[in-house]
Amino acid sequence: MPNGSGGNSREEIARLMEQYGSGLLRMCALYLKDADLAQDAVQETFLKAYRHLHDFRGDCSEKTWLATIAMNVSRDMLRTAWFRHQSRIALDKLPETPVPFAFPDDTVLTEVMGLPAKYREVVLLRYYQGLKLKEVASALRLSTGKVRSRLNRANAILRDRLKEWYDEE
Amino acid sequence: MKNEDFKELVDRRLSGLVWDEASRRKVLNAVREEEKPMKKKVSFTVVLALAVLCVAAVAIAEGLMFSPRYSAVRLANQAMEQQYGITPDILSLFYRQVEQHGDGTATVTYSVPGENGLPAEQMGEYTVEVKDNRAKASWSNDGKDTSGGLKAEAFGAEQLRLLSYDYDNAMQQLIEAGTIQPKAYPTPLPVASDSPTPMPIVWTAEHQAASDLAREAICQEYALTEDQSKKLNFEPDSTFITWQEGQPEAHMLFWLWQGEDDTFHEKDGQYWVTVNLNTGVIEDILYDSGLAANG
Repeated sequence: MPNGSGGNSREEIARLMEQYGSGLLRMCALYLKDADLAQDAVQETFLKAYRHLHDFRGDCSEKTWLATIAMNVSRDMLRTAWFRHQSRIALDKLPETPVPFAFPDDTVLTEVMGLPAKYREVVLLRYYQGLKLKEVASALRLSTGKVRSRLNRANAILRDRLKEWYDEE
Repeated sequence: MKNEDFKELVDRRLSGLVWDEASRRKVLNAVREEEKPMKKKVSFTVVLALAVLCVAAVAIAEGLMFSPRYSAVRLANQAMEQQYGITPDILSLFYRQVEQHGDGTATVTYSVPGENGLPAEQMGEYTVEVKDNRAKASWSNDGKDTSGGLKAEAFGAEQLRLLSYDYDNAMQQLIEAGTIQPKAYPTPLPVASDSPTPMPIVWTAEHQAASDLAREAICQEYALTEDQSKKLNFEPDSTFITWQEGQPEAHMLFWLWQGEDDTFHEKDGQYWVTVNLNTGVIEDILYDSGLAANG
């Protein structure tokens, strides 16, 4: 559990980076659609986490706490005027996987990345980070009903575009 | 969608994207830097806070001060509404640029960002010339037919409203009609990065003074009701400072959501306010209704 005392804070941040860094980076990359910006977002996430270690009371899991910070940092980046019009799609910039996969054409990821931001964020927090509905709601400062409605809408869009993938369920 | 499938898919596809040693070191170095120069940081913060407090007190006593740039934007926004019926909620679909000329005039343009695959040709570009406190707007699609809903030759306020308030359906119709490509995304944006590097700040209670100015500016400029003003939330963690010609400018985010459901209420959205910390002048306000693809 994080605590905020001196050198221990650095050790805590190092541990959190080790444990959650890659997952946060991938989530931010899919949300921001740019691997380089995702690096910046996750760096900022850990810096914010460091500054607020002493505020973390364990009301939620570390993972939820960090995912919340990361998503809000990314949201801010996306909403900031100077960023909004510089964002560029960079799926092809993301490092290639060394592992063969059943969906090599990136259809699923491309469609998820193509969702409007309000759907993309709930999908990533719910299905990638595995947060509960109320945790997603708390992270995005939305009501649970609103999150559920956005997830339903996102699923409907994806189901329509990814029939084959959904049919495998 | 199954959590495990999707997580597995993402982790496999992006297995090359890892939080590596270099990234780890960057953060730890930044953490050490934050710990080390505490004296210097505190003095900077205190000086800044004092400056802001003085400026805020003067500004609030004398009324808000707006930069010529923002004054031009205000007139341009009004011209867009008066001439074309484009209200602030749907104006968010456009990317705004301001060019100030040496003779005191300004040109404000509203163009269509490409990343959301919006029908740029039909939406066109608006140019507003601001001179002597008057603004005149023109549209690249002036003279074209805007009737016929989403089948129109050019998209005016009616179509912009559909794109804003019923984005998914409108986009689907445009795809089916062949107006836009179903795979408009991904579309790289050939825009060079020339933004000032933001400087993260450690937020202190004293900075409240600057945010008070920003809040007052939003309430005044967007004529928020008392209830809306109360619901206007400030995000101190999102604040960052940039330096423009030697002047520190704080960029502050406020947001207003009036309902618990997914319904948009008038004036809902994000408001970015830029305040010059030396002078207290409101340099800019950018409103984003969060409709369409940004919501």
